[in-house]
Amino acid sequence: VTAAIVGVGYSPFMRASGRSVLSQAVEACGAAIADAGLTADQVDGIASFSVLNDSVPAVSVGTVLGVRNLSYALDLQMGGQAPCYLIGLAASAITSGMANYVLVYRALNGRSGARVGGMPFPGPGAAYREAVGYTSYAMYVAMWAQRFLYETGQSAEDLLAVALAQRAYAQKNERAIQRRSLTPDDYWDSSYVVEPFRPADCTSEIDGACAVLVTTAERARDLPNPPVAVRSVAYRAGHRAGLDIADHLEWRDYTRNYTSWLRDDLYARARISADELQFAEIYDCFTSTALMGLEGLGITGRGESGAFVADGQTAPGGRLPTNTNGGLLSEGYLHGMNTVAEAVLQIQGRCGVRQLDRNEVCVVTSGALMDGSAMILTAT
Amino acid sequence: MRAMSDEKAAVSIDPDNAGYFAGLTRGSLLARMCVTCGHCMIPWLPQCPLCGSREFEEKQMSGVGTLYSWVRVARQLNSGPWNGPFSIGTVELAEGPRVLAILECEGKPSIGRRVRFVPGGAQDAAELHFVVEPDGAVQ
Repeated sequence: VTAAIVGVGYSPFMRASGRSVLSQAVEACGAAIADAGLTADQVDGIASFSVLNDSVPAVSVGTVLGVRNLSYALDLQMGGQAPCYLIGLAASAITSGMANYVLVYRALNGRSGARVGGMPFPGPGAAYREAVGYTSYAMYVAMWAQRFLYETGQSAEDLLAVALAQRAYAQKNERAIQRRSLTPDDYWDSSYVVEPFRPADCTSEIDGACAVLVTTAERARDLPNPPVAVRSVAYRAGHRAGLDIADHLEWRDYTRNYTSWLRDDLYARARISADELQFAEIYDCFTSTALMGLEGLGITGRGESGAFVADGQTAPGGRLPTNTNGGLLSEGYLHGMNTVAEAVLQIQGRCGVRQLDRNEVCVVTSGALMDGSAMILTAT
Repeated sequence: MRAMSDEKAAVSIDPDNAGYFAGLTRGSLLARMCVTCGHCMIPWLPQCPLCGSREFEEKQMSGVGTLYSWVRVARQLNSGPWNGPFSIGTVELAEGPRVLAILECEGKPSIGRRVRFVPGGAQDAAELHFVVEPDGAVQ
């Protein structure tokens, strides 16, 4: 183990922040620095990601924080595929000697500003989508979900199971934007957004920021929080991954996403198997994405993920508690940076009323469709 | 089911895809075929991903396919000209490529159904339409 996560920071998650993205990014990054027991003087790397030009550059955050010697800066043009990948890049920067303390953040006015769900994605594949009104991210994941449910013999009942399980966690998370109770009747009585998705199948877009701080395992030992070891990271764009983030005409199998393709590397690099996982934080911009992740990571067999969730196996005390902050569905859509942060806080034992007992080995994923990343985090 | 588009959708034409959309305007569904290995491409790519060739011909598709997946857009999801409800299908053409199309269908579409290209299916010719054949229909 060479890299560790040592600090976490947030700005408040809101529907209308009334603040600049820069202001929220700086708040979250400053909180992560303080949480790690460091000062801005010690930070020498900053990395972030954005889609549709919705964030601010790493250098701007360094400027406002007063970072004096920024030695590593990265602005990745990538969506929810990025968070685990950026932790891996931060770890590489640290082990190669480019930087010692790297902030990784995501910040956006994702609800009051440009909303991913309502913004067509540009790119070489855009024309084919524009010509038929296939211009919202919700449609893309719905197109995959429809085929996934069909081929694996699952149904909307299985989507509902995810929405219910994660809302139960959200009710124990003060940060979650969706905390009101959700019943099966609420779900069935609601109208479709894009079939097969109803509102409770879709992430809640928010304004906010979240950051973590990465350093070497050696330096981590001298800092106040229990270090969280980055045991392995994998990114994969599967065969014929498409021309842009929204193009999947070349991709053949809408029932298996990147998790199926990176799984073997991920576990082999960490020298563990899926059986050894104690909890999971699986990217869930939509309910179907969580199911596809459970199957892709080999946590359940094909077509068995919905029953696994409905049976309580992802709830506290189940085989593999999953998305313990309520996920992107209920905590809010910070594009998976908050998914990483929740894993860190669970391993550090700082989750209060939703703290898990078995909290030492976690898988985290980032992304929904053709490409994405994942990592194994453990207590040291 | 027709999409309720009362203004023309802006389509990002570029040198790679211009021939495809020009074909649709003439009522033809065209793949870009690699002359070296015969691979048929939609979207039209600037180089064959199978053999690396950059020599192509336009290949007329039969217009027959099966429905690989579909969604029904129930409400307006962005600020463009598209208002729900309408259904979009991912159609697997008999020749192999997949296309996105507005589905014309009695009732709900279903995966695996036979679908057929509707030339000039909309006022905006770039708006590709396929009709979902009634169950059991043979082309």
